[in-house]
Amino acid sequence: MARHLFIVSVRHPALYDYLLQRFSDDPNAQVILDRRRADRRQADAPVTLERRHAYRRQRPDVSEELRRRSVAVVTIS
Amino acid sequence: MAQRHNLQIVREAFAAWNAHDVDGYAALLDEGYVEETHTRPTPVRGREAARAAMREYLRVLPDLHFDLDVMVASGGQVFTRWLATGTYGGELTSPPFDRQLKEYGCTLSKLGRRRITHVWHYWETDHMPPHMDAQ
Repeated sequence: MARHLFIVSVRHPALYDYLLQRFSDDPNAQVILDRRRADRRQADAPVTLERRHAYRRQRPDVSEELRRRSVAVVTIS
Repeated sequence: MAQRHNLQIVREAFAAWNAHDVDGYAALLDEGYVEETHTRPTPVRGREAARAAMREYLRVLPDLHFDLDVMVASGGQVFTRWLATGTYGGELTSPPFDRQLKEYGCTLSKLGRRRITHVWHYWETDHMPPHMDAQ
């Protein structure tokens, strides 16, 4: 069974809240808020590799997609 | 198997929108259908109300079209990400709205009994197209 990761831009909190609610009882879907850019503005310390999410290692194009769109979806087969 | 059917039903629903086929779209909806957006407080309820809402959309945007770029089915729901384009017609072409619509967004559809029971639309821009506010 495929699993789906919905990564929502921090600029779209209403979308995040709704997807989180609607997929709350779906074990094959996970909804996360992409806070990376906001977190970096708040912290001077560099982000370590360990703190980065696994999806970024798998899909570096997610960052670019989230600059243009409200949500990116990564499917893990 | 169910997820494949759900994807097919939602594809048909967007195809009906793009064909401006009100009856074809309504045929995919459950009698208890509910349609919401993140900014509109009053949902559209029922198949007949959905017909009326779709006709209104098409009156305001006679060439409305959805290009789908992501579709995902999971747990009885289908997530669709789209780009809506169209040209405003009728009385809603005056400022502040541009005559051309080009809006990114997404829809989460819930299905049951091989029909669409609930949809929620999210438009990515801050302002709502006038046809959305008018209802």
